[in-house]
Amino acid sequence: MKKKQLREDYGINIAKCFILLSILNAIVFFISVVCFNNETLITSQFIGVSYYSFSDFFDSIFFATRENPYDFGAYGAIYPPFCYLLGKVLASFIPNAEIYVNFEDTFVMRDSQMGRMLYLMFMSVMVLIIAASVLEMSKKSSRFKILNVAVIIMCTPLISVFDRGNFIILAIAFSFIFVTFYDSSNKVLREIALISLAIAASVKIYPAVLGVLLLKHKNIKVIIRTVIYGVLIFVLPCFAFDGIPTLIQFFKNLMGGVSVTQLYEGSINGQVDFGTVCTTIVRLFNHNIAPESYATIGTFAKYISYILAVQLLLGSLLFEDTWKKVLCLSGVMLVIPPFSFAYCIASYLPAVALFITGKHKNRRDLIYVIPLFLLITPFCIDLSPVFERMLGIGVRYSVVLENFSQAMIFIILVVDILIEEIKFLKTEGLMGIIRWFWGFIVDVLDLGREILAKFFRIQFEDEKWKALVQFVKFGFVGLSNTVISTVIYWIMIYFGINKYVASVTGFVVSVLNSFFWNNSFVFKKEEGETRSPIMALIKTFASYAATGLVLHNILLYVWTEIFSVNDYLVPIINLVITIPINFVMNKFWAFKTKKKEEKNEKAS
Amino acid sequence: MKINRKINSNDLLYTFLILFFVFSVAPVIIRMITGQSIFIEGVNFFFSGIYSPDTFMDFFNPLLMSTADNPYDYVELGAIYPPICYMIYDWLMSFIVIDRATIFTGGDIRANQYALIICGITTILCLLVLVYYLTKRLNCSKLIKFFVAMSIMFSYPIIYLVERNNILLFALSLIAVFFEYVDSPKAIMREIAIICLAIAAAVKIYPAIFGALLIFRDKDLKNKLNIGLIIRCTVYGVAFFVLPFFYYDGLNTVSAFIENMKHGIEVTGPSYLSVYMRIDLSSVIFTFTNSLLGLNLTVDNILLISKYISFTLSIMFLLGIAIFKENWKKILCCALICICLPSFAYCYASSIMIFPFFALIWDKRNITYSKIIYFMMIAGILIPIFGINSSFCQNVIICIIYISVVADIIVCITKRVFVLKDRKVKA
Repeated sequence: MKKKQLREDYGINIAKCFILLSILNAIVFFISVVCFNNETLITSQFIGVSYYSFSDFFDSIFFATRENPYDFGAYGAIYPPFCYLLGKVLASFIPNAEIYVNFEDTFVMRDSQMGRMLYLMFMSVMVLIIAASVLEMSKKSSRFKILNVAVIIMCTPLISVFDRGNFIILAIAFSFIFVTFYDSSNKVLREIALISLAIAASVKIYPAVLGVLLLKHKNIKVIIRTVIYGVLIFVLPCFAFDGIPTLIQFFKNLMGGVSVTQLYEGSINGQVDFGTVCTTIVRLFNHNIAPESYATIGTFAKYISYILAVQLLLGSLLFEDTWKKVLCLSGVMLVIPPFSFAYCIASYLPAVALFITGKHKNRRDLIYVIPLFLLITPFCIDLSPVFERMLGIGVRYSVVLENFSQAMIFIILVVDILIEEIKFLKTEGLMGIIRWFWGFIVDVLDLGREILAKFFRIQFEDEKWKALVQFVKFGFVGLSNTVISTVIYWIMIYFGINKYVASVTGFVVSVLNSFFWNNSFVFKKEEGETRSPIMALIKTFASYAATGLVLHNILLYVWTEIFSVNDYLVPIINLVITIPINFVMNKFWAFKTKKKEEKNEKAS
Repeated sequence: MKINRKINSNDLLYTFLILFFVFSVAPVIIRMITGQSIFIEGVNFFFSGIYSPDTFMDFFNPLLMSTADNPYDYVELGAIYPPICYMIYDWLMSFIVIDRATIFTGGDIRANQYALIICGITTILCLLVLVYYLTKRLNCSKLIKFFVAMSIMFSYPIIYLVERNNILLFALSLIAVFFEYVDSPKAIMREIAIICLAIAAAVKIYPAIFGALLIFRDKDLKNKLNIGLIIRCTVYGVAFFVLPFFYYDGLNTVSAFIENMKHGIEVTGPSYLSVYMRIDLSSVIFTFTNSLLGLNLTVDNILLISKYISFTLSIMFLLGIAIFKENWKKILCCALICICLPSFAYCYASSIMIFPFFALIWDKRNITYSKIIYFMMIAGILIPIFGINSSFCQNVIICIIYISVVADIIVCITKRVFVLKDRKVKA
C-alpha cells in the first residue's frame, strides 16, 4: 500500500522539485539583478542589444502587404502562405500599412502606435492560450496551477520569442491546444485540437510531427480529418496571393534559405539546432576548430540527426506517458531542421508543461528534471566565464546551457527509448510491430470501404474485399522490394562490386523479402491449411522472374519498339500489368494452400 | 421585478459575447472583406488619436521619474502617483540595461529593447491575472470562458488602458485577486486578498473604497463583519501607502506629492477635447451641457458644479453600499465612486466597471429587469462600438448609470422607510 502511494507521489515530487528549483532560481535571479546589478543575466536571455526587437513580426506583416511576398528580391519570404495571410489581416490594423515600401520601413511600422498595440495584444492572446492550456493540464493532478503557468510563461525561450516576435509563438500556442485537448472527452474541444494542429503545422511545418500522437488510438477518421484540415489550411491561403505558383515559390525560397545556412564559430551563441549542439560538444575537446571543419561537423550532425529522429519517432510510439511522447516529437522538431535560432527551444514547452503537470509512475522520470529545468529557465548564475574557459570563446551562457541541456535530454531519451524497445521486443517481438502496421493499413482500407459504401453506394462483398486488402498488402511488399533491391544495388556499387552481381544480389534479397512477408502476412495460412515452404519459395522466385525479368523486358520491347511509347513512361505502364499478374501467380500458384484432410487422403 | 422565464447568468454572458461580436468584431471583418480601411476619419479611439506618438508613456514617464533621487521634484512633469508606484518602477528599472546618462525623456527609455520587453511582460502578466480571476468563477464551458477572457482583453477601457500602459492595470489585477479570495474559507487566502486590496489602494488610492465591502457585507456570506480583517486591511493599506514615502525624503515627500496632485488638477480642466478622452464628472457634465444641450457653460462653472455633484453622488453611493442587498450593486457603487470622485479620470478609468459587470454575472439570484438594464448599460461601456467615439458614448452611459443608481438608492430607502412604518403600525 505504501509502495503504491509512493508511486502515485512521484508526480507531485517531480512538480515540487521543478517548482522549488524555479522559485529558488527566480529569487537568486532577482537578487543578483536588483541588488548586484548583474546585467549579463539579462543580456544573455536575448539575441543581443539590438534595434531589431519584434522585427520578425513586422517583417512578416511587411511581406504580407506586398502583392506576392515570395517575390520580394533577396530577402526571400520563407514562411508558409498561412503566415502571410495572417500578416495581411494584421496589417489592416495598422493605418496605411501599404505606404511602407522599403524593407527598413518595418521599424517605422513597429514604432507606430497601432504597431506597438497590435504586437502587444497579439502576444497577449498567444500567452493567454498557452496559460489556459497549462491551467487545463494542471487540473488533473497538480496543486501548483498558477506556479506551473508562471514557470512556463516566464521562461527564457518564451521571452526570447517575445523579443524576436517570431510567428513560432503561434505554432507553439496551437501546439499547446492540440496536446491539451487531442484526447478530450468533449467532441468540440477535440475537433478544435485537430484544427489547432493543422494551424501549427501550417505556420511552422514541423509541428506536424505531433500528429503521431493520434496514431495511438488508431482512429483513422480523426487522422484523415486532421490531414484534410492541414492540407486546407496550408494550401488555401496561397490563393490570397498568386495561387499554386506561390506555393512552389515558397518551397524554392525555403530551400534557398536552407542551403545558405552553415555552421560557423558564432553558431553556438545563437543557434540550437543539432549541428550547433554537436559543435558545442566538439568545442569542449577542441578549442581551435578550423573553419573548414565546421562543414564536416555539419555533415556528421546531419546523418546522426536522421538516426536520432527515427529513434525519437519510435520513442513517441513506444512510450506510454504523453509528456515523453511530446518530448520525443519536440526533439524531432529541433533535430531535423538544418538551422534553428535560440527561440526554437520554445518548441519543447508543451512537453515541459506536460512533464510538470502530469502523473509520473516511474522514478526514472526524475532524471529529466535537471535538463528540462536548465533548458527553459533563465538561469540565475552567470556561467559565461565558465563556458568561456570550457569552449575557448566568449559566449551567451543561456544558449550554451540550452545546447548542453538538449544534449543531455537526447542522451537520456535515447537510453530510455532503448530500454522501451528491448521491453517491447521481449513482450511483443518484431512481429508485434508488423502486426500493428498491418492493422493500421487494414483500418485505412476499411474506412475507404465505408466511404465508398456511404457516399458512392459501392458495396463490396466480404470475399472481394478480402482479396482487395490482400492486393494492397501485396503492393506494400512490392514497394519494400523496390527499396531493398535499390539500396543493396547502391551499396554494392559504392563498394566497387560489379553492377551485374549487385543487381542479381538485389533481386535475390528482394525476392527473399517478399517470400517472408507474403508467406507470413499476405497469404497467411488459415487453420487446417498446409503448403510446402520450399516449393512456395521456388515458385516465388519463378513468378518474380517471370514478371520482373521476362514479361517486363518483353513489354519494354513492345511498348518502345512497336508503339513508340516514351522510355521513361514504360516502367510505370508495365507496373500496371506486371503487378496484377504477379499477384495472381503468387495467390493462386506460389502460395496456394491445401486442406490438411485432402493432403492426408492423397497420401493414404 | 422578477422575470418568469428561466434566464440565467450564462444567458447574460452569451448576450454580452453576441453584442461584442455584432458591434465590434463583425464590422471589422466586413470592412476587411470589402477592402475598406477599419480606421474611420474623425473617430478617435485612443488618447490623442490613432497616430499618437505617446503610446505606453504612462509606463515610461514614471520609469524615467523613478530614476531621480526624488521623483516628486519633477513638478512640471507631474509625479502624481503614490510613492509605492515609483518604488515598483525603480525595481523594474533594474531589469533594463541602459546607460542612465543617455536618458532624458520617457521616449528614450521606450526606444530601449529591454525596457520595451519589460513593459510587454508586465502588461501581459497583469492582463492574465485579471482575466484569470474574473473568468475563474464563471459557470460555463472552457470555450466560452476563453471568449469572455478575450472580450475583456479587447474591451474598450482595457485596450485604452494598455495603450496608455497605466499602472491602473496592475491595481485592477490586484482587485481581481481581492474579489476571488476575500470570502475564501482559508485564512491565508483571505489575508492575501486584503493585502492585494491594500496594495491596489496604495497604488491608485481610489480602490480603497472597495474596503467598504468588508464592512457592509452580503448577508448570505458566512464571514459577516470581521473587525480583525478590516483593521488589518487598514493597517496594510496605511503601511503600503505611507512607508514608501520614507524610501524617498520622508514626510517632505508627502507635501510634495500633495502639491503635485493639486498642480495636476489645476491644469486638467474640461474642454471639448476632454469629451474624447475623459470620463470624470466634469467631462460628463460638459458632454451634456455644452455638447448635447448647446449651453455654453464656462470651464470654471463646470468644475464648480461637478465638485458639489461629485461630493453628493459619492455620499449617495456610499449609502448605496450600505443599503443595497445585492453584492453586485454594492460593487457598482464602489466602482462609481472611483469614477466620479477624482477631479480628472481618463477613459481607461471605466475599466473598474469590469468588477460590477462580473459581480452581476456571478450573482446567483434570479434575473430581474433592473439587472438586465444595468447589464446592458455596463456592457455599453465595455464594448468598443465600431464607428463611434466610445469615450463620448461612455460619458452618456455613465451619466445614465449615475441617475439610475441614485434613483435605485432612493427607491430602496423609501421601501425601507415604508417597511419600518408598516412594522410600527402593526406593532
